[in-house]
Amino acid sequence: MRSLFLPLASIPAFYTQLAKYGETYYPRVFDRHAIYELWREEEIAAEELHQALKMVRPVEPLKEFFLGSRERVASFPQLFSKDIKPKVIVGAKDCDIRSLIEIQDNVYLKGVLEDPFYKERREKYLVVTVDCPEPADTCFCLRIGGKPYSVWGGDLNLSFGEEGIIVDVLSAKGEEIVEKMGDLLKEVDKKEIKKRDKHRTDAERKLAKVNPDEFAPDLPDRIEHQLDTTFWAKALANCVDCQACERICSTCYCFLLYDIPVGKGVERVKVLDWCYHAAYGRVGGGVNPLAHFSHRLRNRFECKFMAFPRNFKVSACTGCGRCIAGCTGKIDIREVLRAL
Amino acid sequence: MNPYESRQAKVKEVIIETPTIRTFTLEPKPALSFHAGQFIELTAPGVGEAPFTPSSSPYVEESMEVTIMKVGRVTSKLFDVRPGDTLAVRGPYGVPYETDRYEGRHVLIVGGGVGLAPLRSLFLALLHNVSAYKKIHLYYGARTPRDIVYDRLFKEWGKIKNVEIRRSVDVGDKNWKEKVGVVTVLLDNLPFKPNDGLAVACGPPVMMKFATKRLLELGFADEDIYLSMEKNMSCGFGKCGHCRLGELFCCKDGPVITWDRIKHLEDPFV
Ligand SMILES: Cc1cc2nc3c(=O)[nH]c(=O)nc-3n(C[C@H](O)[C@H](O)[C@H](O)COP(=O)(O)OP(=O)(O)OC[C@H]3O[C@@H](n4cnc5c(N)ncnc54)[C@H](O)[C@@H]3O)c2cc1C
Ligand code: SF4
Ligand code: SF4
Ligand code: SF4
Ligand code: FES
Repeated sequence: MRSLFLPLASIPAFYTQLAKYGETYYPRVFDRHAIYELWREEEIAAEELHQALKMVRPVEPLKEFFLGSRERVASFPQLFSKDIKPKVIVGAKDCDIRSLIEIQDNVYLKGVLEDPFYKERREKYLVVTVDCPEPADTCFCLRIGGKPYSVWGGDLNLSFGEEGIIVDVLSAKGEEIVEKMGDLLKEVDKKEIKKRDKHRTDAERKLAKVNPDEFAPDLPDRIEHQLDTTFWAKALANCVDCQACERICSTCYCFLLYDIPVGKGVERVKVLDWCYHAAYGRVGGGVNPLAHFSHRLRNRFECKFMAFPRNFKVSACTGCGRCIAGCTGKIDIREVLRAL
Repeated sequence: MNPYESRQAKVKEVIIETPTIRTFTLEPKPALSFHAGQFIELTAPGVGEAPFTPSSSPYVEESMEVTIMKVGRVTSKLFDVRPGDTLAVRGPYGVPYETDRYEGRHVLIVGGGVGLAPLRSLFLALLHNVSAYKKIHLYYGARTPRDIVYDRLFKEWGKIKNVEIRRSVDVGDKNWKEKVGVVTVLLDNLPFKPNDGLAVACGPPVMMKFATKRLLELGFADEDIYLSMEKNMSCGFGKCGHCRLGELFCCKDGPVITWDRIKHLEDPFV
């Protein structure tokens, strides 16, 4: 990794250069939340982008770009092909990039077969992460293997300072991009790095204050042995079954395939699915091992904090807090984990 | 390679096994070879897919048979299929039976209902090299004599040297001369010592539960009890999440899983 410096005056030119790589998405502030939007340079001035970039993770999880909620994946007997064009996604956070590297990559790129469309997007899309100077009360990345800034996984990382932006080059793709930028990027002054270190420690302190305790190291075993249905029923007492927590989760990876008849052939569509759906576990003739909602809640915790760590050495959760912020019933996943 | 894509498969023959079970002979193009224990995803045109285990010998490459019970949407649509129609398949998925571990031992095959279908593929694969095993014991239970699958084949199988067959029905009729009772009654008076053999079971969840219990009582080792686990499946190759069973995914770690790998779970059969 190497760090470079982008002086304030060069920021607009930097964005213009980045956008040459492909369709570029930035978060923008809507109703106090950051939401990704396609950047149209002629309509949106560079300065307008900064407010949203300095906020915590955008509302949408990063997987929206890489998996999508609905995607055609095959057709037959007619031939099927897909044209995946490069994109730039600016404004992902450490929790977001970890949701790809540690969770989605393990699912979609490893094992017996790989998902060719996810793979191609991972190869072609450029991800530019940005530090989180102001973690939210729902954030708990620090307690689950993350940081409020990213030092690996993306292609470039931006840290905003008063004089300009520190640009960390984190991948070969990132290196290629900055090389094309000529002398827009300067050497970074030690003083700037020092200032950034301070901002980063402040953000970590804030996270530690909001999340004073570590989670138990033996969560997988605790979940495996928590067979008391009243525990799970209590944990979801306020749940209204809106399923927002799973729909918005950056690490949930489940999907369902379904076929649409087209002429004499079939078009196969892959839609994101989630285990709170009543029919998720149903097998032939209507038998359903996850018939009760408490089974399905437990299933979510088993999947994220028992099976995934046992298979891949990391929890299938990055502490992004989307499920907490989005919960109609005000259920906080951290409290359920601590009660286990 | 696009793992979501299926290949066309012409239906060559449809055999009516019982009022609710049929065997379809498919000719996938290009041919789809598999090992005993692996499964496929079969598309009913316009309705969707469901997982099935081929019931024919893996040594026959140009066609495959699939024996299907009508239980719901996809399977009902498949019952409308006639010879000459075209379906679609993808696969094979899952881990094959470790048949080389079975050599020199007794192989006990316990099937219930349509659960005999996947086991038939294993049975036929074992017959291919029948002298390699001490003996093959095929034990099968159905609800009534009318519900027995492959009744037309049992006579031939019974004549094969090195094969022992036992059958039971829950409810008999006046012509039924074999055992009456649930399939576990067949496990009384085993003609070999459990530590000299292994057991393979497939059937409805209740049967699996009680068969496992009985096999353990008889003294079969945990790792010698091979169970076909049925879970909801969509992708078949370890991505969609649906078939998780503890840490395992039935589609890629199974669908046949030995008892030692799931015995720590609260109730793996529900
Ligand atoms: C590895 C494996 C091998 C199998 N082999 C055979 C076989 O050889 N012969 C046979 O008759 N049956 C077999 N089955 C069971 C067969 O897959 C189901 O009976 C079939 O999926 C029922 O589909 P349906 O649409 O007719 O039922 P419905 O009751 O209408 O649908 C059941 C619902 O569950 C979903 N579903 C997803 N996966 C499954 C599943 N595994 N079982 C049932 N529903 C599922 C369906 O999409 C639907 O939502 C096997 C199952 C598995 C997992
Ligand atoms: S479970 Fe909640 S905190 Fe964890 S990754 Fe999913 S949305 Fe984020
Ligand atoms: S099983 Fe549930 S918790 Fe796990 S990835 Fe799927 S939807 Fe998310
Ligand atoms: S969880 Fe951490 S990395 Fe994610 S937005 Fe919050 S502070 Fe940033
Ligand atoms: S069927 Fe999709 S993960 Fe097993």
